Amino acid sequence: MPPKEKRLPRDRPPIEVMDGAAPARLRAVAGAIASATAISLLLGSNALLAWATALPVGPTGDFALDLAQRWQEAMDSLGLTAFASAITALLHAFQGAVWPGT
Amino acid sequence: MLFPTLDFGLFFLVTFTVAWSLTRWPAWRLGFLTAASYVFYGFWDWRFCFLLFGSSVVNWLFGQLIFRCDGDRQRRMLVGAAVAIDLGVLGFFKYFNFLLGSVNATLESLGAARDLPYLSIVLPVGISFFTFHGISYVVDIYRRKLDRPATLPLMMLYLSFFPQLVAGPIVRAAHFLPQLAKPADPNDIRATRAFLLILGGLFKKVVVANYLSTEFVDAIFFDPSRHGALDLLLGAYGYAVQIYCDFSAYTDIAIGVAALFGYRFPQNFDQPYRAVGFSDFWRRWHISLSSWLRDYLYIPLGGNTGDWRRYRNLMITMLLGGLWHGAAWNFVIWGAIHGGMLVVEHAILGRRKPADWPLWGRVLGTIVTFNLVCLAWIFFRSPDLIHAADFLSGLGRIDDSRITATPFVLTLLVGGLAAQFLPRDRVAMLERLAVRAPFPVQGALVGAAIVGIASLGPAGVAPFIYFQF
Repeated sequence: MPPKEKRLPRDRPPIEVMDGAAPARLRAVAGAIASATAISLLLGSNALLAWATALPVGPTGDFALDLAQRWQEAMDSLGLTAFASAITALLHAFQGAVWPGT
Repeated sequence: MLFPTLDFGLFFLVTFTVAWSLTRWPAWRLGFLTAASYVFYGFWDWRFCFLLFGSSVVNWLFGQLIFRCDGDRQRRMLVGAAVAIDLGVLGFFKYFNFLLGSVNATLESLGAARDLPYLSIVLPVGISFFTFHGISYVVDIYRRKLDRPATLPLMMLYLSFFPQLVAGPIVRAAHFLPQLAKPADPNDIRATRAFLLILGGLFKKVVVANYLSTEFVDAIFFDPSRHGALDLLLGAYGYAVQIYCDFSAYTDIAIGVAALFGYRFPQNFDQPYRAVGFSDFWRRWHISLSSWLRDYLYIPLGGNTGDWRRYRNLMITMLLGGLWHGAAWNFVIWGAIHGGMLVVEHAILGRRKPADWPLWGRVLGTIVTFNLVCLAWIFFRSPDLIHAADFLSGLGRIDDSRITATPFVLTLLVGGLAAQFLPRDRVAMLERLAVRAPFPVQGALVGAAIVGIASLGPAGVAPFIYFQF
């Protein structure tokens, strides 16, 4: 007697990650992304400067670097770089921790 | 262009703005998304864009031919030819020099040494993934899962859509083409969940995977003979967490970014280290690849038709899955461990599902499965078998209790493992909290979280592990 066919179903639907997620309108999402961009620019001027520093040397790169430097200085004078700096300092402190007795 | 970089952030902002402003003109929107995807791909090496284009055209042509052909035999031949071309291109880039080396070695052992020249071949990023997409398309047409073949522009976007282009998830033609074919709905963007997935992915990659790799795992695997048993054990566990966080981060970000463009991708990871067996593991790890291998390799091989055939097919599938990662014995052994454990599990357990086991059985199953998966990761991560053997023999050096893992590393490791046991609907739970905030506030929190993650991360981000496959 031939073995019984026990094939797996071919049409098993993929599991959706977005099932049940709340839908939103484009205008609201665009607003959220604009807000995220603005906050990133305000609080993340250090990262922006690091990115501009790594750009290839040339007129565009020099212009972007100059702009990023001035932006970073402006944000620093307003105290807005403190958030990123505090997080980095906290991480470094944790990274440097050693086991008791060593 | 890597996801966790400012380059990608700028690329996303431009693409998002233009794509949604073209909502009223769906054909232009698709054309723009295709062009943007080619720009994204061209950041690695613009020459590979021709390969991507060629793959799209070949699979599209075969799709048309298969769809128009009535005879079963001709259809089978056409789909076979399309798959052979796809795999031939993939095999050339991945295995040509390996085969040449084997031929050289064989000729030398036969006393007919010929120094066949190696070619300087660079493996195109993501070639496996767009090849799998191409195969999925022609096979889905062959199996009549698609009502009609795709147009060439749709086919080009299906293969190149930038969120999934270089490392998946593998999105089936039958799942994704119908989404591309209908206009995107600007009133149905699942944004809050997308934000959570993207932020979670960034944290897993930038913080957990990066630091585990640079501060611990790389050193352990570089020279296992310099480490004691406990350190090596933590190294294996550390790599398990690192590769999970690295790979699942990519797919979480891909799923989130696609959702912001109005498209849905399938789930790719589901807390794999809480699996109670290997079958369960493969239902949770790289789900889009394991189900692809099941549907396009395991079932065509004969699937579950009889015990011995099932065991043979499981071994073939897992060995080929291992070889797909690279032409090296350590990947073969990795596949053999997984295939072997699947066979053992099916032989012992039969149809009894882990869900029916008592609690102690499930706990024991999880511990045993996790440790065997880590054993397989040792082969996967080691550069060669000598290093893997050094690693395994070092696990016996129990008298050497030195630990190079710092409290920081151990926190990442334990945290990464503990996260496997969080509720399965954790993202939905967080979403229910987050949606209470108005969208501008959600955006502000996302911005602050991105800055926070960037501040936590090291300078520069290593490429995702699965880019090399």
